[in-house]
Amino acid sequence: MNGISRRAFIAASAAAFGSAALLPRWALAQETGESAFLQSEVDAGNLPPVADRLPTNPLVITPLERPGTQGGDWRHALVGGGSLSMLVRYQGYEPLVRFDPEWSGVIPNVAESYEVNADATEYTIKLREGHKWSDGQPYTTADIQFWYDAYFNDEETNLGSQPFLEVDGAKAELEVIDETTFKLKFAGPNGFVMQQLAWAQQDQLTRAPKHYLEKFHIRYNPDADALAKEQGVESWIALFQREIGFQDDNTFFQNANRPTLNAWVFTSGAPGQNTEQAIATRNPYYFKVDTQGTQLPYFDRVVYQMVADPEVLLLKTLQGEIDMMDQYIATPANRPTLYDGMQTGDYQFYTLRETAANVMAFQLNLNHVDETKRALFNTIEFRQALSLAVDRQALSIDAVFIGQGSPAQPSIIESDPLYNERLAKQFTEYDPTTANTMLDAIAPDRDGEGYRLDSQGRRISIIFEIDQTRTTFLDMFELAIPMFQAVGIDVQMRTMDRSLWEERVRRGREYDATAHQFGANSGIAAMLDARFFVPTNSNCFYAPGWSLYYTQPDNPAAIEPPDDVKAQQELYRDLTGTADPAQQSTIMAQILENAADLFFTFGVSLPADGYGIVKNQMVNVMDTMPNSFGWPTPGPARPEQFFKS
Amino acid sequence: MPQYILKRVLYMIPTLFGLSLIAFMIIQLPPGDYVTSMIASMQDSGANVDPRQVERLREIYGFNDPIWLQYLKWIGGILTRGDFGYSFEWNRPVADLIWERMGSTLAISVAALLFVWAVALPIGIYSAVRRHSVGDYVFTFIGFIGLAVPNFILALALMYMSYRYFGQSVGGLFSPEYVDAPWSWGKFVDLLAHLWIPIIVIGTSGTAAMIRVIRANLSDELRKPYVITAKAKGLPEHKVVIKYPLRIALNPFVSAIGWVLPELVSGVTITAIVLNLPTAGPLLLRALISQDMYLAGSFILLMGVLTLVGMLISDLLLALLDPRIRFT
Repeated sequence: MNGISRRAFIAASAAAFGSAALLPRWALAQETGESAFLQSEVDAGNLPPVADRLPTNPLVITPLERPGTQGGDWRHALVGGGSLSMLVRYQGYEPLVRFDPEWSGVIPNVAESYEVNADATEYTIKLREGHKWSDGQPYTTADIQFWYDAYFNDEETNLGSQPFLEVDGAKAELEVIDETTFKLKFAGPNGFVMQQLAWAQQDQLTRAPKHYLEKFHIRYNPDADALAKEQGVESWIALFQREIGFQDDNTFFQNANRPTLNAWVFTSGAPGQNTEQAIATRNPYYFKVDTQGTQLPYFDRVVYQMVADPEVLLLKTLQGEIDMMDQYIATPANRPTLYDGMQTGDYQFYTLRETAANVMAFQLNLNHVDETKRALFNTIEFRQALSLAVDRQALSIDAVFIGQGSPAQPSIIESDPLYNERLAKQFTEYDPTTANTMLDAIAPDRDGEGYRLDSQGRRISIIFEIDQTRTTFLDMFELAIPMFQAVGIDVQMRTMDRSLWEERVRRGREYDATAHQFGANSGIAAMLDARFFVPTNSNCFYAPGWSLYYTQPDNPAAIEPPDDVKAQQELYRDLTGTADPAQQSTIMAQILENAADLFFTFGVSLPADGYGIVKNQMVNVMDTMPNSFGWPTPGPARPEQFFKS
Repeated sequence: MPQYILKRVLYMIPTLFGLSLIAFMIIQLPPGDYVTSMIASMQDSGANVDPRQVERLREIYGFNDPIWLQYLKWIGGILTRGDFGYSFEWNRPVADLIWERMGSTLAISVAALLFVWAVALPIGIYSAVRRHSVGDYVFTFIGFIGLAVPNFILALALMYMSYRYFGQSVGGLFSPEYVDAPWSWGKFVDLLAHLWIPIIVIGTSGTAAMIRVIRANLSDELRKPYVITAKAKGLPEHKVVIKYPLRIALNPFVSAIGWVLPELVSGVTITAIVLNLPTAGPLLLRALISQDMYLAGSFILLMGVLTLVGMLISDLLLALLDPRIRFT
């Protein structure tokens, strides 16, 4: 087989099998050139040649447009110094399985393949033979076993388990079959394990190197306590938790010593140590090659400038110092400025498909501590009437979002197969007359100023508590308050500092109402984050007690929901117990249909698409990509195959 | 004199103790704690956080302890081991974080201070001596503008100008290619190209205020009979002004040193954020926002110490400068 025909074979097989094609090791040894960046290390004998660094069966990536060459810097920026969550987007997205670039499903990544049994209780996952951590140590099922024993199943080190790896409170069981194959077994059907693993920063199985971490765990190293004292930490538990870094993204990324599977690794000190920039260099053991057999990533380095203020980042972008950016500065207000600077900055725009379910959802506290208010808010006609009282066109679309978007409740976008028109459009028309009629049936009495009175004779006041950093909410409320007052409801807005809001709303029960956004408007994302359709997590501010009941029914703060809500929660439980995509869609459609009946919250409009900027010389960047945390933009678009022409 | 200094130093101890107590309590006043703010930012980016994990984190960080116990732990560490605690957000010892930023902070602040003195002193003297002249009005006008324009606006405007007309990389102290490079002539020139903006921005309002103070004090002094006598006796003008009236007019200069020291650390926070300077101010602000309490508390304590030391120095200098002031 000569080189050309092999190349053709690889391209064909890559096309046939998505991006996971099989390549014999000898083929690679001939084809794969050494990176110039690492050549001196290899020559000095510090690194084995590239053929020995790759797994036997590397993941073959088909570049979006064309294969490139290794080298160059990817210039980025981080705003706010201490906040490193963004790193997952650029260099930290290497789970066992990943979302595909279109976000239509999951594809193998670190795992070579996986199988699910018929009732979704057993997942068999196969790793790549010869896969290595960034320090050259093998990545095998021993690492999985270590994660399972030393963290996941360890009472002392575990920081609250991962709910998606539990069924009815029972944790997953691990069965290691051989060096590269293992099984996760569940007590009952658990349908979304793979999707959850693909969700950003949820897959811990690829992030716990045994050979590095075992010295910090007392069962593996009896001197771990002494080691902790040496480092100024009270006990081995605290040190182990800090080293494994699963408690939060900052702790995770600040540790530059822990080997990773990522395309780039921090070598000259952890990010944040240098207050001006952080540099990650190519991982010599990265497990992906392109269709020509070149080891990825193409970029030798990722250079992050640390910026304290978004305005500075904006200027830097205009100057052309940033290669790609869709966070921090890509706001509607900056769009004209960035558009004007396209020539001098030598960049162009790409589209970010917004994935939030609404720009803002009004959420009345259905678990309010006040008896009368609770009864009133739970009257569905009351919420529907309030929804009718809002002139969405004037409110957000004309005033706040500069003519973009169309009126909608928190819902699924029209282009998605799960689109439910009733859910999206019901009660979105501006009709104060009907609203008044409906409210007259619920609260006919009014006081001297024209405000309605509740059953106790008190004026109906609804105070929306808003986090003051959400400026678009404030703008919308300025216009919405008179609309509510016009139908006799005394709506007020109370803005507060973020920390107070967290305390009062996320942890409290006494608020009347609040407003928030996010959630998801399509496919898999909506199934995983169904916050507006069924109360199951702590982001459901309309029903904190019911949400808690879903996960911890025994918790004293949990409130047993009424039957129809309980049925909805059961349906969601069914959904998470199903692994078959067709079945999942059917159940989700039913959930959305019920959500339209339940009408928990009402919204303003679906968000208009956002944008990002990318330098003209960048190749293989998608023109349109989702904007999400779970699909950590642009991580699943495969930054490892980006390069500069 | 040594007795006086000793007494002052002894007084500092209870003051510092009270200061640390108040600082710690103020940091604890806002609702929530570091875990709250961390969870908020995680949820903000779309992550779901398990309530059990939140509880676990509170336990680990020791936020469930009563405030007095948290305070004792912190102050105990400082007194017994010189350990200022651990920054939650940066996962590093507080002392390291603060020291790292001290170099650039001091460099910028001292440079700005020298700029203020170098500009304000001659202009102040000129304005006082040539009161109500055209030059005086021009400087007064410029001075008031300097006082009135908010620093961050000036910073943004200058940055835009340097981007638009000089095409240099804005923000920070170095261009990206020099950040990690060893010191060289090129790096030094690059530093100078970046340094002028912060110095002018930080300096303007200080300069304006200083000009006004010197002008007012010196004008008062110039009208006194001893000055008129000296002039009448034929002393040259520069000698008359500099020998005595200026020395007295300098008193406010010196007494301000007490505030200059803590200013050096935290004074130019907003400017530093806008200009992306690696100084201590933004770090302190960030620590307060994220309720990283040991970092914030240590900063405030450090500033307290600096204020006290600065006050002592300025008192001593005043006595040197003005023989009428005596230690009591």
